[in-house]
Amino acid sequence: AALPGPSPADWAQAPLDPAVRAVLVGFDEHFSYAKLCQALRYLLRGGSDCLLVGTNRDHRLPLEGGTAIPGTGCLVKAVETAAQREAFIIGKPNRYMFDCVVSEFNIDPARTIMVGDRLDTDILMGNSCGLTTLLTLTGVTTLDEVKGHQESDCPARQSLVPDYYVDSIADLLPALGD
Amino acid sequence: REGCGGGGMASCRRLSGAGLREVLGPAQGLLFDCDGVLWAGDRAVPGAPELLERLRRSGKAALFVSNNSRRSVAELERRFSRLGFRGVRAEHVFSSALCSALFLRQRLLAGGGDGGNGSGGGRVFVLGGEGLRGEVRDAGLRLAGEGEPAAGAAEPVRAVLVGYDDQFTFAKLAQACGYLRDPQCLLVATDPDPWHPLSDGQRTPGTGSLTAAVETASGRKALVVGKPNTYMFDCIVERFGVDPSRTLMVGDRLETDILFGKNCGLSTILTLTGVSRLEEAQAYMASDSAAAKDLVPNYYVDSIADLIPGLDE
Repeated sequence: AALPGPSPADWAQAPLDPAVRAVLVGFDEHFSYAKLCQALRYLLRGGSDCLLVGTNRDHRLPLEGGTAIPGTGCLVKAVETAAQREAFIIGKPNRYMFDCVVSEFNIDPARTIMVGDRLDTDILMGNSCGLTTLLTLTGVTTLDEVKGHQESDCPARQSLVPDYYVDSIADLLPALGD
Repeated sequence: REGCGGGGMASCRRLSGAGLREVLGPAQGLLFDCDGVLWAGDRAVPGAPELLERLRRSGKAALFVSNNSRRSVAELERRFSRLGFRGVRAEHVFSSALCSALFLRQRLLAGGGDGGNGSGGGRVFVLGGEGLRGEVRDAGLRLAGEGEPAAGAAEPVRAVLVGYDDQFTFAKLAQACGYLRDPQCLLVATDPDPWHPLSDGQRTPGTGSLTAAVETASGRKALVVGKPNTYMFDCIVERFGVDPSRTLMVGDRLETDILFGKNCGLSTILTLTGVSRLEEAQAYMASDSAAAKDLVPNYYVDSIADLIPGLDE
């Protein structure tokens, strides 16, 4: 619904939908202070009865040519900071999506490979869920980054290290029978 | 008896009666936060204008230090007057808008940076309203426009300043991130406040929530000018030469005002007409964490009007 008046004091008077029980933060290129205001109002009104959910925490979405735009993670952080509470995150590296897959497809983690290009989402989720992890180098991650984590003493960084890597997923073809 | 500022944990004692005179007597001056201390919304806290008047008659200084980056100090001077406070001039008021502009002037214009290119320090991309933008201009800095392309012939942007911006958008966030790809471009925030109270008990998001978005997108940590960081106190000392051991900090928010007082070596008084509740101060006092202890005020009052009996007639 359109917000009355030009200022936050006006926006705070707009009627709230009594049926709202969750605030869901996803990628929103029309994110604005006004929307942040409304999100905060619902979360304060509902307290623990109003869920705060974020689709993912990605910081940046890479574009062609090496630039990037802000990711959903920025918008989630803005809402979390204003509301002083933590969102439940659906996306990788959290395991919720893997749980969804398992419940539909009867996956055995010991016989499943997770293939991805990002260490802090794809590989971390795979490692946390007991999958074999395979990094492909056609995306955002370089082998140097992996080596850096591998050589570090930090257990958190160690969990970003994949079991295997390939230059491209096309490299898997020879291993598959005719 | 409580010492002034550092050394030992504060004990959040109610200030009244003889204690009031003991604490206020030796003080040369008081620093006041504004929102929730002097006024709430558009109404002065009852007795607050009289307190300032009595301070003046007692020969004690009153200075003002506010994290609110919406208004210029000229607007704040008018606001003081409109709400019934007499004799407060712009030079007595230290807002995060003013101090952020002073900070940027220091960093970008005063002989630092890439001096010699003749372009006077570069431009500032401000996420904030007209009050904040005006302070930055008054400090001699030039502003980048909204919607400009990041590359091109225009003078480089040397700082992104995040303030209270009720016109914040994804597009502005993306524009800020474009500038911050240059590691020489500063990221500065006026204050860390996550939200501010509205007069009906609701809350509106603060600069802290917008800064969190910019930090997440850029992978950078912002330099925060406002309380609890001490830069605004440096500005006050430079202009007025305040002695911390004879100065009291009065505020309503434990995480900003009281911690600021602690960081600057000031004794602190929490007033309960604003954000923080007494129970929160007591919880910090009971906590095991060393950081929590720094959020405990030396004293508290229900309202700053309660300080009046501590001053000479």
